[in-house]
Amino acid sequence: MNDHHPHEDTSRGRTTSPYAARIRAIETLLIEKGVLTEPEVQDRISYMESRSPANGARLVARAWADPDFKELLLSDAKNAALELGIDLSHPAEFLVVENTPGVHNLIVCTLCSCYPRALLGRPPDWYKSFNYRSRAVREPRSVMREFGFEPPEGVEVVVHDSTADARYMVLPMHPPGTVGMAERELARLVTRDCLVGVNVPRAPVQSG
Amino acid sequence: MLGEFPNPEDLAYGLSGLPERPLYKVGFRQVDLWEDYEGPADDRLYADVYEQWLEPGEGGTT
Repeated sequence: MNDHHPHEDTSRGRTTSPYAARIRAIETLLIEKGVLTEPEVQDRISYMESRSPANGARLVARAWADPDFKELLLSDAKNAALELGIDLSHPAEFLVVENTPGVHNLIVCTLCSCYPRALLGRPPDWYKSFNYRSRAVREPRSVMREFGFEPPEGVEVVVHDSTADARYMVLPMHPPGTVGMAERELARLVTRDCLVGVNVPRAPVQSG
Repeated sequence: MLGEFPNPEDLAYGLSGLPERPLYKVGFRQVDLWEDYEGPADDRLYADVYEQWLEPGEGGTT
């Protein structure tokens, strides 16, 4: 791939903003000075882009299908992920918090944008916004309502603020009406928003 | 208790962050934090707090 005409290349999120121009200048210098090589940079970008909410969704679907796996996921997320070939060998602790009929969990990082990237990829812009970071702890129910989800009456809302060295993912409840679905199909119901806790998975709408 | 991790205040200055410091998950009732909290009294907020960010409280138990 020829990346030497960045103004014509909007793939990989390459924009013409001053910040992007500065990063490209630094990258060029690092490569010229032999600190990095172009393939190393590209490998790193590919690695970062290879991680997506699909990883988290696979863990959830397996947990729904296999109670033993669910137990492992909740007690030792790193080893559970490894069973599915997902490497969480990050120095941070990974914690999976379970939604139950009585408790709904929501994840935020009020300080910045701490996010379980290995499981969910890069955080969406709204997750990093001042608006979400301040309101998720202050009025979590209003925030979820804006995402189209209202916890039922009597459900406790528990917010986890990942202010330090732990990263959190939500294990949503198995939606009703999905009994007998294959793991791969179940995983498709689990969106990024469900894994952050601003929404919940729903059974696919039956047409006809 | 979430484990022990290098001290982030040292890491920010390029130091080793050693020795590692205990990190706790501290829970609050939302109604204790916000006077006009919108939800029920059972709603909670958990934040991850390093031991050195905590001060001994009064009348607490160990």
